[in-house]
Amino acid sequence: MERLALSLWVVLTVGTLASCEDGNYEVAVPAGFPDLPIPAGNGLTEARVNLGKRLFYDKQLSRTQEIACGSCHLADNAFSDPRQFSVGVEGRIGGRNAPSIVNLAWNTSFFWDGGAPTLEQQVIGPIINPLEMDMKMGDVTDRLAQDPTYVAAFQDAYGTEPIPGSLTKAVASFMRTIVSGDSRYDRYQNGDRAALSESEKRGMAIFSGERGECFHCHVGFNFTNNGFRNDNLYAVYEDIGRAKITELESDVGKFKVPTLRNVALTAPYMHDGSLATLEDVVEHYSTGGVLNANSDPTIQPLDLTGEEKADLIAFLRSLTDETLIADPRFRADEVRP
Amino acid sequence: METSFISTGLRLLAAGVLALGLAVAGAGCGGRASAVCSADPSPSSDAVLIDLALDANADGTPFAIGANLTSANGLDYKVSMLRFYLSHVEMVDGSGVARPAVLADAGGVPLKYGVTLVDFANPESQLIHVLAPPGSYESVSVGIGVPRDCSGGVGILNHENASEQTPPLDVDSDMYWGWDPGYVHFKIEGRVNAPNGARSFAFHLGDDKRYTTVSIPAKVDVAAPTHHHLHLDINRLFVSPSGDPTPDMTGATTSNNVHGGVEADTLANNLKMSGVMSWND
Repeated sequence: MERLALSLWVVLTVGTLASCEDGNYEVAVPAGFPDLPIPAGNGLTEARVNLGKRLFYDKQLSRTQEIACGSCHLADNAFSDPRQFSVGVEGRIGGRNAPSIVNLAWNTSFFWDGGAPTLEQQVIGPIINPLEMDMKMGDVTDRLAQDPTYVAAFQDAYGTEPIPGSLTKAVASFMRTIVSGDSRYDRYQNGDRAALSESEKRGMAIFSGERGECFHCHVGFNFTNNGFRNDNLYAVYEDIGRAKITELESDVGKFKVPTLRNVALTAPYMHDGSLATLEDVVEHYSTGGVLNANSDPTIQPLDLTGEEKADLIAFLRSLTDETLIADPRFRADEVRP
Repeated sequence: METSFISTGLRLLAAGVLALGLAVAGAGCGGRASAVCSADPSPSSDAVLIDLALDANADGTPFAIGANLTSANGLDYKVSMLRFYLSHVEMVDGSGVARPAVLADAGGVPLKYGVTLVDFANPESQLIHVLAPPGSYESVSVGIGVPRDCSGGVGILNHENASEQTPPLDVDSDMYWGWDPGYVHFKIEGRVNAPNGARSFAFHLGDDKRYTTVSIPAKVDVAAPTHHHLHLDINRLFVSPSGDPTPDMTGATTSNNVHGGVEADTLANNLKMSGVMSWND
């Protein structure tokens, strides 16, 4: 009897812990990726990820209820925006191309200029930016609190009412689960030698060798060194990029090195979407672009041949993860006409 | 006997686990139960609650939001917003020893973050309270802005997730940069009649390097609760220590829409060095 009571106690106790415990939501991490980093205080749970997804696709986050996070981070484009600049409330136009948001769990900074140090803090930016959602965080959560299903979802996820701190954590949790690592390139890396064509293999050699020099920045499992580089787009940068944050002359025109995963789906390219196609991008790096005060020393004219360019582009296209794009865990639950 | 011993041990363990479970539940799911980060240390046990009433003027003309003012270089202007964080108040004695005066509410309870937001559109915010150690002092030092670090250098105050903070450091304080997470230390916005027409100006000081400590001569004896006045001469914000009219609120010579950079440095330096703040009893 005593033992039964003890067992019940333990079960109840563990049950209490589990409902609040961080980390009971499993994310499958592809082979070759490091462990999924999870910050203290915001472990993944199903309730948090589900709430985050609902918020990500909810237009109530914007002042005019016109746009959601998912309005500019479209699943078909690997969660980037095919428009050069995204459109915020009342038709307001931003100044940078909305980037793909796959594998953000491993990023060390967020936004093109790296202004936000954590994914939770990143979530605030677009909501309060006058050119994007133009909303006060408290007004968002007051709005959500009118909906009993949201009240219950916040309670399940964080044990709170709808409040800004729980909202940013939930959206960050959802984004942390968007992991992309099932491209043909990955299958090749994991032993399927037939996964890449001969042209793609030649392109990979250009990418990873001294011919293309791409690997200096686009390195590792996520094809980024998480650094900031000036890619010779302009002689004078109107958008000063990283320098906006650091206020250093030496950072003028430097922008975050983006992941190249799914790059065939994320046109247009560069921080300002100024290059429309992968062909344009490869041509830019082949010519070496425009010298400026902070030109990256690793960007030099390559004078790639037509065949080399075609091979390089073929390789970049092999980085597309079709599984990700189709994954219902990440796509909006219903498509409205 | 042995079984009973183990059983007792397990029961104690279970009780401990349950207590831990309740403690976690009490902190809220996902909430960290750690102490709140404050810029201020704990007040000394003999600290005295004194009031500091902040007011502003433009070279002697009383300041109010929307009032007609004349700048040091003779331009008519109006201020539509004047807001700043205040922190790290210190009483400095004749030998230069600084002792913390802890920011508190009217009842003498230390403020949560050791930071207060002064907003000239909200008169209540202009009356601040500090728990000052008894003594005779020659000057008062105040910090304008949100300090980077918590008291004792443990933890970060200026760059935590603002969506998890409460006023005055809440994300909707209108003093927070979502694009470069951290607080704006000081904001002044308004309109000036420039020679070439009316111009709007907005000067926002942010970034840790622009947290500004201002030393204000103040002969003050702290022994019992007293009331003091801290004046701001807004005109002095736009005059360099050497007397130049910089930064230029008209925008003709330097930017007047400022979120950092050289003009923000200039304004921060003026705030510190141009005699913007003064004290009287």
